[in-house]
Amino acid sequence: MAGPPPMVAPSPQPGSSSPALHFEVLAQCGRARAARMTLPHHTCETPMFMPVGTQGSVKGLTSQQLLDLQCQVILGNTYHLENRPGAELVADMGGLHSFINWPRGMLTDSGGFQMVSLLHLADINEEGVTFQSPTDGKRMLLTPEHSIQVQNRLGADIIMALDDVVPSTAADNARFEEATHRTTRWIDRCIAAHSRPHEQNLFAIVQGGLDERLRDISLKGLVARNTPGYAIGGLAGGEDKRSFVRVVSQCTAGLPEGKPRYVMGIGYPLDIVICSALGADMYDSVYPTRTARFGVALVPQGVLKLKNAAYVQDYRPLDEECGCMVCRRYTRAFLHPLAAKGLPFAASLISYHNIAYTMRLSGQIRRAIIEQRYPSFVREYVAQQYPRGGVPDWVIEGCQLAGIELDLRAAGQGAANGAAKAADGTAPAAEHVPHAEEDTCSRATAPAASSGGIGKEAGACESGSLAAWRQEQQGHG
Amino acid sequence: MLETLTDVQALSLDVLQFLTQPKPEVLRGFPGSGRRFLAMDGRFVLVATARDPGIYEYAGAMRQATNNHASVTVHTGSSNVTPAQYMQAVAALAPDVWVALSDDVPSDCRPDRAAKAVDRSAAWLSECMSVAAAAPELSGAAVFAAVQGGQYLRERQRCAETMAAQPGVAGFVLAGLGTGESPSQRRQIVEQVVQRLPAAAPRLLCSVGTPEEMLEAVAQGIDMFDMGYLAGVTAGGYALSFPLDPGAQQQQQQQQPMPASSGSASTDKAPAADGSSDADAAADGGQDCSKINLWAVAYRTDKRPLLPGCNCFACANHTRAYLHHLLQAHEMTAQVLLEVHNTHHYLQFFKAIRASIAAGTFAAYHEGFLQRRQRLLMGAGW
Repeated sequence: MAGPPPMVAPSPQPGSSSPALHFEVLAQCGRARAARMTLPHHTCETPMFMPVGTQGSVKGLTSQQLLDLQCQVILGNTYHLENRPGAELVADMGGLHSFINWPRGMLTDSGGFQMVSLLHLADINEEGVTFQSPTDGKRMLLTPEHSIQVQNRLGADIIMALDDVVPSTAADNARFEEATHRTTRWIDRCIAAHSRPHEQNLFAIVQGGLDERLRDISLKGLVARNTPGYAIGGLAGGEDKRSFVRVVSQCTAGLPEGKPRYVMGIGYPLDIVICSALGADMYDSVYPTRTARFGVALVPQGVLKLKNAAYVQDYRPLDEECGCMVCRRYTRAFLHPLAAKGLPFAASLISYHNIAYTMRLSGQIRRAIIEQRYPSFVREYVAQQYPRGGVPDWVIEGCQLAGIELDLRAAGQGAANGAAKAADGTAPAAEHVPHAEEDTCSRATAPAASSGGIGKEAGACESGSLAAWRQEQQGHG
Repeated sequence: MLETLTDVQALSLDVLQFLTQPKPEVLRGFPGSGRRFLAMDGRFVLVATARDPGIYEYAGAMRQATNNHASVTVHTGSSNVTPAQYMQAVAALAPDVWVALSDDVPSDCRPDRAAKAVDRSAAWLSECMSVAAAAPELSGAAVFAAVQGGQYLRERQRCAETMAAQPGVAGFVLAGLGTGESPSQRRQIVEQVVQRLPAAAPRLLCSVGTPEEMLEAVAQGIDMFDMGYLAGVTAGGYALSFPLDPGAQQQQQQQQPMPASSGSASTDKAPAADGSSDADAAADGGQDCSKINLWAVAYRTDKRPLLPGCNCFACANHTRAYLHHLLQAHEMTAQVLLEVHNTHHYLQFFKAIRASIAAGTFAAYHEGFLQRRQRLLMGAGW
């Protein structure tokens, strides 16, 4: 079903065509852009957020729910899926799409991130990385060739190069230097190993830590390899946020205009807003679903920590502007005891809402870009998250890099305040106090409208019937 | 997911979960009914019961109960509740049917303890009903009285007679079962109690669950069951797979000895829902005569739905292999999908039971189940 994307007449906007990917910028607003990306399984509208289903399941949600939530691409993870159930089995089951019953786009990460998340179980050298399985202790050597071979078997629309990832908080400059050059050497091994370039798109990943010089070396080396798209890696690992926005800004500026740019590991709503301002197109993170499992709901003003006794008798929906299934049916007071007791039902419901929130935010970003009002959207979004001032320095700097002037009327811009918030890893405005600001919670903001805004869909999933798609698949094969 | 289960008629809620978190005031304060707070659609009959089979703790009630309060198991552990407190939670839920608070003792308690439980339960029924009479939320609701008495037939008889004599009781719960009594003891208890209850009143049996137990209870005149069994089956990673019409299938098998394969990648190893490959599957730990164990490696590459022919959400969308993987990877979606399937399957089972009663063929239906089980047990050498 993955025919080559149609050729189109040259347009004044940047774009590119690869055998399995067609990318077309629809509108630019400053450095921000909205684009259409055609993948073998789905035509996506960017900027977009991609929920993470590490082991073939976005935790707590069914694939039908992800379809209901208008998700366009979901992630799987090479290392974890090879570990369990094994790529060979997935291939026997008709590939990852068929195995998990997901008709739209998929992206698999290469296993590089596990060099950070499972560093204590990893041994990295020029050949590849040897992991000790966190489940049964078995050793697995993941080389660039093996990672690509596994990803070819899994069959995602976008596959990621194996990169040498160093935790962004590491203080070892020599290690960053080595990793940067190694990532460039490994991309050639990945390209050589890639056996399905007409069905799957290999994205290279820019490394280089927080060092401008190394990032520049990485950018030049990888851009020369001319992959269908690029990711910016090695971020979202606890580095200081000013360095983070500088690196994103440098990388988006250095990557080709006509190709998709994917910032890996980004899921805090404000990060998505700022990175989009800097010209990034794609994001993924476990944040919306993981924080949901801790009883935390995302709202335009920040987050609601639902275990807090303040919600015992709060009969409002999580987010009055949302309108998702959870917000239509349930109240904060209903969710509070479930979250406080740690019941799985709470995790499912809050995950559903948090994905709905993140998808709706992506839609709002796209519309604001297309309607050429992204700077004012960013100003409103930031003001909403910091109603009493104290906008962090990194947000101000990110906006400056994007050419967006923030409206900093509020007195006492506290750099320290913002930095502290970023450092402890919480979402902006995480200290949002329920009841304290009744007015801000009911205030209408950017045109919320429907959660739609996603362009044409393909095939049977247009009707939203996963069962129909499944039957069609089985009929074919 | 509930909306995919179109055959649901009633939902049972555990009143005890609404004593502390959330408190009854939270439901009462909600603009709208308790039912709307819980997002439980008006098309369901809400039945508020006094025992959650999911967290019921054996003999938990024995510990601290007095004449004034029951000892119950809630999320945080053991807790005391008076009839007045209990009724506050009932009123907040505004159910269609509520079960009066009773002194819930297990079958094997001492005879004097069982007698005390009968006395207390009768007293608490009156107390609950007088509270209910003053509660406008409960004006249209029906009260069910709980029949206690452990394994002692005399106490069971005495309790049934006392409860049946209480005016205003709409139905009865055969309580305290599923706590260690033998099958023949349970049969006797149900028989003795049902005899003493008004013929026209509905009878609810709690905490009993396997298909065979259900059929036996139905044969003895039970009308309603809670679904605690399904939670246990789901938590264990099982999908119910017993045929809804075992008699018809038996005939079919006589004509066609090998069950038709559905083109699985591993047809030689994968067990069918029934029939001659049962023994192979049992050897893999893959199934028994009513359910399949999705943890078993037998399903690792099985592309079939949980139960071929089932039209529940899980079977329409996912394979056994995927469910096996979700369990192995400890993904919580496994339980969501299994619960949908198991609930759907039991709802279809009860549909089939009702149809056979209406057609006057229930005895044959019941017999077909028992014969199938016997056949499988003999055949598999279990």
